[in-house]
Amino acid sequence: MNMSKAFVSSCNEVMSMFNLTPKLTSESVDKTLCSAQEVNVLLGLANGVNGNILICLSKETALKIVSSMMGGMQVTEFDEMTKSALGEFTNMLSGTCLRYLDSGTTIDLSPPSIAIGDNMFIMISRVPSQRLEISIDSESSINISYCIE
Amino acid sequence: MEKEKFDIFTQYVKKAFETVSLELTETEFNNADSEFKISDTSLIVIIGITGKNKGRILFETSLITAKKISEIMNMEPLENDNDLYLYMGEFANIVSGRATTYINNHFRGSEIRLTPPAIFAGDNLDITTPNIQSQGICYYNDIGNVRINIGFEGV
Repeated sequence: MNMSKAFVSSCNEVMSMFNLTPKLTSESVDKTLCSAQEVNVLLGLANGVNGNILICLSKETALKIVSSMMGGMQVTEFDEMTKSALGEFTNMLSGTCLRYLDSGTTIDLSPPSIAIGDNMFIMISRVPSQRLEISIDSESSINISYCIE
Repeated sequence: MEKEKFDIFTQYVKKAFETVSLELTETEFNNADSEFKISDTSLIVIIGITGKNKGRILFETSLITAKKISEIMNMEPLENDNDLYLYMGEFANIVSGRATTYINNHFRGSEIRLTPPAIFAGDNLDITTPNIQSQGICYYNDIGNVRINIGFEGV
């Protein structure tokens, strides 16, 4: 299975656990240097495959996802607990994606780092990366970018 | 990761930074006694660590200092913004790679591996890596200030 398909399957599996209904809305190629969103989570890949995964979303969408992870309890503050839960969410998405990828080799994931800031630009690879836009409802979506060296 | 191994790795990162920065910029960076804030507008490189111990190394400089370091490495003004990111990513990669070689030689079977660098630039950047314990080191000289933060899970 290729990585895009593996991510779509991973989103379906992980998000359905939290009563979210993901849908792939677009797939595109990003420039090497691109503008960031409000919340950007980076996970690195090493060992069998070297690369980076970047999951970008708005704070509102992050709070919506973390609230779903808490069984519907409304989370309104983007604090350390929210960041920790978001890190776990992205870890689950990426780990499950690697399981679906079934590359025949061990691939290690680095811990998630959450970047927030203003007027932010990000480069995760020297070459253009692939970007998937996944909607989780009519108003919210997340972008998953990945690059394999 | 055991505390002793973490401390040794931190020392190796310092040694690698001091050696590599001298080789690439031909100036010595001085180790500051305490951590300081870099700038409101900064450039941060994150390199993930995997293997038996998971973590990340973070390099932060102001955008102005990043440009100065990149132009010294390039030996002439940069042609575009992409080059700034590429040079700083490469700088951090060389430092981290050298420190990893030192630690993997020191602790045989350590198998620490690095992920490719990811570079962030912007205003009021805040990076959080949940569930890691980290140690910061700051350097300064005429070119500017550099902050390195090393973090591992389970220290």
